[in-house]
Amino acid sequence: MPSITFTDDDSQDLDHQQNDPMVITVEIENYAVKKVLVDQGSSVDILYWATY
Amino acid sequence: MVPYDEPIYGFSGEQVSTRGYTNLHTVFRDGPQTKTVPIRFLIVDAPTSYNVLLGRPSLNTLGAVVSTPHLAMKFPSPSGDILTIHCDQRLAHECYMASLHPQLPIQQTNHIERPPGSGIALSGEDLDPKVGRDVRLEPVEETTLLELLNGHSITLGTGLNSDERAIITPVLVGNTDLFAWSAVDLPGVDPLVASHKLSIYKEACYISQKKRKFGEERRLAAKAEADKLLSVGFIEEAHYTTWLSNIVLVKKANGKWQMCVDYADLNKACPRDAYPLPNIADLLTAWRETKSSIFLTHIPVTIKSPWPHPT
Repeated sequence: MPSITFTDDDSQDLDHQQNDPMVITVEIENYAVKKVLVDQGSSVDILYWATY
Repeated sequence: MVPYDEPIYGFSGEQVSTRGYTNLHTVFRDGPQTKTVPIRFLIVDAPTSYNVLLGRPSLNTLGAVVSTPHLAMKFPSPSGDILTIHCDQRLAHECYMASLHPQLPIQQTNHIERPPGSGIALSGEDLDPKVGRDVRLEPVEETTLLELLNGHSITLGTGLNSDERAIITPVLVGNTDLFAWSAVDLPGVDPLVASHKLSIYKEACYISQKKRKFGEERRLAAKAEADKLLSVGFIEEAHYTTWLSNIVLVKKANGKWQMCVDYADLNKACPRDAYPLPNIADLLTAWRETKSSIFLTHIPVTIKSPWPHPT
């Protein structure tokens, strides 16, 4: 597996004084789903009922 | 979805029940390159500003490395490239603020977009903004059931003290026959006592709204409601309509349908009454001095109008 590195280029568009959570957009079964929280503290993957 | 009700626990040990789980193919996209992984999602009914929460199982399957200072995550693609997904900082900030203030109403837009070409056409009449909104205002007071005559019962607030209860109970039981237990029991108000006159602009003309079509569930609910009103004589059938106001069906908190009429056009034809209840101030002053009050709803009043069957 190639090495994974993060450089300043990865954060150039950011407002630097931030503690924002990692929120991304993914495609689930052909739906673009926004507001997806990446949470390494969670032991399960959760789909909220309101979204389901 | 596979039903599954094993609870999960939050970081302070609070228990959250689950509804089930489902396996869904999830695509992570970096420009033209994508990586698809199957994810088993646990379905949880909890108030949140997020749609989905990706935990360690999916991140490990994806082989993702997350850097929160960069607000980016990287993972290897099937072809061996490293793909990057950047965070939508504006949306992240919005969600973060919403999660810090859970008492603020969370925006209910789910931010799910149908991919072009796969959309199922929904007619505007089938969209009900209230459906799916679980948080509703409910009376906070607890109530107890009070048995009246002939198998009827009524709920009383537990906030009443025993003296008040002792006064009210015989009055309610002794006058069971005065309550309208069904629409048939409503005798109406004699037009000599009170009748409502619709004032309509002279120059107003008949407006026939375009007839709306409903889904099967709404159609049956509307028919049942119309049959009920017809059977008790609240409404009558009009054979030749020169006007038409559509009905609107709204789902109530208890899951039943409430039938309303879209009187937007009729309202436009009526002068606005700036004083619909001229003595409201007097009523409120008098009410403030009373110890107990009884609220009555649904008194049918005959409506007089220059038009045949305007309502």
